[in-house]
Amino acid sequence: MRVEDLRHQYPNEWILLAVEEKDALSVPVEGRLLAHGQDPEALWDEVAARQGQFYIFYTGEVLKDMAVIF
Amino acid sequence: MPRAHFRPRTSVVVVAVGLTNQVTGRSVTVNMLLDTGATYTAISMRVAKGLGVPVNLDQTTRILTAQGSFEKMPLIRLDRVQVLGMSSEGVEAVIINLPAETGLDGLLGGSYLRDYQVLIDYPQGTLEIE
Repeated sequence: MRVEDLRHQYPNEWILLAVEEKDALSVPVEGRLLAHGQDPEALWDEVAARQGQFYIFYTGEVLKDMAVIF
Repeated sequence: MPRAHFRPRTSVVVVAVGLTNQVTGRSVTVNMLLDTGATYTAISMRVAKGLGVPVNLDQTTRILTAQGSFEKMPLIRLDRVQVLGMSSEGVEAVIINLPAETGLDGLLGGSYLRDYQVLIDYPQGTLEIE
């Protein structure tokens, strides 16, 4: 599935993909959906049980309604 | 020069960062906040666990936080960090607590950026790394 399609299909969720295609800058653009949901910890547990190339991302707005100073 | 695009005039620049653990054979791309003011790159504990990067809680570094206090944070080494196709090996990183609601899995800081010429054009919304 395309990353852009997943952003629309699963709004405000964390996505775990097994990467199948990257763009010229090595950013994943397509892959096999392995898991999705509100809890990223569960997705990282999935990664820990596998080998390969993965992409984990949040489909919602990053840092929504918050400001940061690290 | 590799170039990424972000929303013009935003103060939040998020980049896709590839992290590789050569021991476990896992490579994961995550979204990180570009933080040119940070000494180290930082990842959340869930990322370290997922990659299989060992975290020694006795091996820490003292970090001055934005609150003006010092905290000891675990210091690790990432086998490979790749941004816009530009790779560095053996990048030091600290483990931080990043809540899920941030939508982020880390901060891209000086321990990676110091090896590159980094050009951020906020009005145009472009990031270049060479």
